[in-house]
Amino acid sequence: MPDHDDLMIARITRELKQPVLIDPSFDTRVMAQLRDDRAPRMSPWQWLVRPRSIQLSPLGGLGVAGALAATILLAVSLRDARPAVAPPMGEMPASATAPASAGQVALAQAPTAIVQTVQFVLRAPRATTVTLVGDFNDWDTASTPLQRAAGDMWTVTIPLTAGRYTYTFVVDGKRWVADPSAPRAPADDFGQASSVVTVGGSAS
Amino acid sequence: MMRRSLLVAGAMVLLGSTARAQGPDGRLARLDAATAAVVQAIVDSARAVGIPSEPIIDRALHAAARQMSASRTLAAVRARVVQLGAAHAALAPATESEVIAGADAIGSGASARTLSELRRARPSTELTVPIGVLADLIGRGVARDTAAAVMLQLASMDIRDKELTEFRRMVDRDIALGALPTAAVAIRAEAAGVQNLNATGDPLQSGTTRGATAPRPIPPQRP
Amino acid sequence: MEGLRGMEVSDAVVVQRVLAGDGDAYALLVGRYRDRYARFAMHMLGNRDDAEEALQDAFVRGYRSLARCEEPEKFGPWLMQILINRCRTAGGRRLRRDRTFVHDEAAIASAATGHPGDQRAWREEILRALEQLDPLQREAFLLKHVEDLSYEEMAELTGVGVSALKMRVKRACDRLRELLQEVFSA
Repeated sequence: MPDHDDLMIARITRELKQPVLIDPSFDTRVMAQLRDDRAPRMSPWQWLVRPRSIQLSPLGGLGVAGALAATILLAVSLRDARPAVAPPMGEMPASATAPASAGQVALAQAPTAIVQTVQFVLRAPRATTVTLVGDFNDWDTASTPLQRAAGDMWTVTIPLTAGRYTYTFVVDGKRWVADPSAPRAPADDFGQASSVVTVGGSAS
Repeated sequence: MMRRSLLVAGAMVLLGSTARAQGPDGRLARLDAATAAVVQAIVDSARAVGIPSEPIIDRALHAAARQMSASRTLAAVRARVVQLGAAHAALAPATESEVIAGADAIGSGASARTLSELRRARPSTELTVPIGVLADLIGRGVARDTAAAVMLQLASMDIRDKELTEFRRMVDRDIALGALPTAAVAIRAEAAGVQNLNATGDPLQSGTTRGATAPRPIPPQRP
Repeated sequence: MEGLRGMEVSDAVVVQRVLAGDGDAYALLVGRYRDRYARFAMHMLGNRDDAEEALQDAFVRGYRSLARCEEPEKFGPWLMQILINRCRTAGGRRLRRDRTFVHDEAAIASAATGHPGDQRAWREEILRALEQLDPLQREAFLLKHVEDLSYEEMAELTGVGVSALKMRVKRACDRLRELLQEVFSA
């Protein structure tokens, strides 16, 4: 029956047209790799996220009454520092050049940017929704929802390149909750404090 | 969206930014047009002197997400630029992560001089984690001078980032269990082999011998 | 010199800017096409790791060979062409991977629509069925019905004739109906 079949295809395509989550640091990784263009490379894929050999370092549930939270860091082995800030691209040649030489204007030996998986956890038994906002997702309150895991715990896992990120949780779309067991960001004149997570290299 | 982008571009021209204009960052469209234009001008000026733009934009986006007024947004953005500028000057040549951590440290009360000294202690190694731990400790209530003295020593010892992070976690735990912040740091620092702290955790003047009541330093225990 | 940001700048302008030496400007194009093409890669390859790898590879190759992009205003389709090739290579080379991340997305998608159990199961079934298609049929189906390309555009991208593409799409639809008949009518 044509109508029935078209309806099914329509349902399939509607489902497949749903947006697909892609990690916030993707752009950074692509641009970092392009800055590495001239440097000798190891396998370019070893720094993509791989779910294996996870080490858990629980901080324990230290928190005030209300939303008890624990931030658990899942670490994948990593090396190297982030490339330094490239100088502002001021003196560009006016004539068209191939992209390869444009890459030379940036760093001569930028090390490979490594991605580390970080899991954020919030215990919020009465919450309906919990999202994560921070530097890594442009403070977009909709882009990184947490999933309710066992019982009262909400979690999300995101890949982050090395660096220091300010973040916080948004509960039920309106209540901004810092992570009680994570370091606080310096007072930012916004009222409630935010939390900080530092993703570092292990070599240094 | 198109209209707002053109409006921002127009405002940019009116502001007459002398810095090399990048044009409006699309993400700033979340702010009202006038505020976005000012933020963009601030970003352009900052970039021109080598200050990373991303943390400035992040601060603006944070303000937008919190629905802050224009004046509060700009005040926060400007304060952030001041912090970033001081960190950049103290740490150069520095990675973006280091400058961000440095800005946080200055924001929590660390001095630019401490950052410079950290840079001298580790001229070619990434400082994001040590600076970050410095910021975190001061933020937790550790006296500024003690935190600085401890971090400087830890940074010049062969202590890895993971160990510094663990150090900070243990101090947090001690504080949560009731220890005074400065004392907690002093105890953990001694365990890590830091010297020249007196019984209350204040850094001694160079050349002063330790008080009789202070425990002997324990050599660093590394896993 | 005016800078480049914001929605009003066309792909062609950005491409020319990159070729003139402003490598950073490429990030604009990455941001523009990342999500849409990630969706295609994910459905072609079935798991996040391979999809991100293929997508990243495509962007990098796009940058390195940008001078060979003959029509800068058609950067999007040109990049898609690269991505299609990357996905073909990846599909042939890789073994099947764990589907964990696909489950996560299904959960998120179902949470968004508000029909938890049914939606998630339905989505899982679709993805499973998709994976059972012949890769070229899957590719044609996705380009036609998810990316909404015309057959002419698809022919340009794949180098395959329109009638052959129509046949692939038809076969893909037939097979999907067959595989999903039970689930659909349940």
